[in-house]
Amino acid sequence: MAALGERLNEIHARILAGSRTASLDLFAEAAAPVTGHVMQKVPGVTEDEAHDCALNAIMGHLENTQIFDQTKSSLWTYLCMVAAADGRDAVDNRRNRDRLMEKDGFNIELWGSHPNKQQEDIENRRDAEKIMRLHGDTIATTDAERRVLALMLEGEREVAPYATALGLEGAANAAAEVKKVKDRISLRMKKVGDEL
Amino acid sequence: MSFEPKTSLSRAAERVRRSPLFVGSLFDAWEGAFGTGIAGALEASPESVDALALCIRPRDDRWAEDIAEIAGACSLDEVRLAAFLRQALAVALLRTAAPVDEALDGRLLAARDRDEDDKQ
Repeated sequence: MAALGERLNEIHARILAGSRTASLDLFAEAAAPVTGHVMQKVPGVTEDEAHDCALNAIMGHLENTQIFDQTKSSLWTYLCMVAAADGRDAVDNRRNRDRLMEKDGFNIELWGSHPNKQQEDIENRRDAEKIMRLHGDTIATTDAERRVLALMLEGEREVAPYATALGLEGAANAAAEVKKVKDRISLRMKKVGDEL
Repeated sequence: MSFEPKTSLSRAAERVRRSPLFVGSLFDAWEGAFGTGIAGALEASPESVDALALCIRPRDDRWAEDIAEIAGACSLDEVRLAAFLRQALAVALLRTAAPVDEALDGRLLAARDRDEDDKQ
């Protein structure tokens, strides 16, 4: 069996020749080893991040094959280089976000304003978990308030889930009560943010 | 390394749905139009469907050759795959075409321009 580097170069030759399935082989052959390389070379990178970077590198190569110059490096080296750089960026971005959260305070609107995109949702959830862990007890003092806070941090905009969290389903004054509790929590969040 | 090739390919298959280069980019349109799963339509395993998603779209001028290559690599029936891809490409084209209202507006505008030209 040929070494991985050789196999990837063969796959690359098939891509250039117009193969429709070389892309499948490239994902199958390269995703796990490139993920492993990123984990080995990038301190602090998570397995998920490393895998995402490997997939991005492979996908990017397939979409723009002309960027890779086979006279300068092997495809293996190229994919590892791209994925590792991406991995370092991912770690830096995550650390910067964590630092901002812990040292510079936060603003509720940051987590409530863009709940639609999947990646943002994941980041919102991570941020929300961190806020809850660090300051949850100060911001929300009862179980009902903690449920409302969790919804706020997830970017929930509908009244119904908040009403349910407060045990007010179907109540005539649900909307007004929900607003009151959300305002109270927002005020405490601002105070915590100011103190940080 | 905990990423099994199968899991990794499945994640990759999800990701390539965003890129028009790949067959997987046709899946959302097809599922939206027909309301059924692709594995069922192709009578294929989920692994075969993931593999199909990661293939590059077939070329019009080498359709039969490309279909044969993809079907072989993904363990799919050639005839069923060809029919599926024809339908998926047609649906994707319809989805990207101008909405009916806009197309109608364009025709009315063109008709009005000609009327004005006639008067001059």
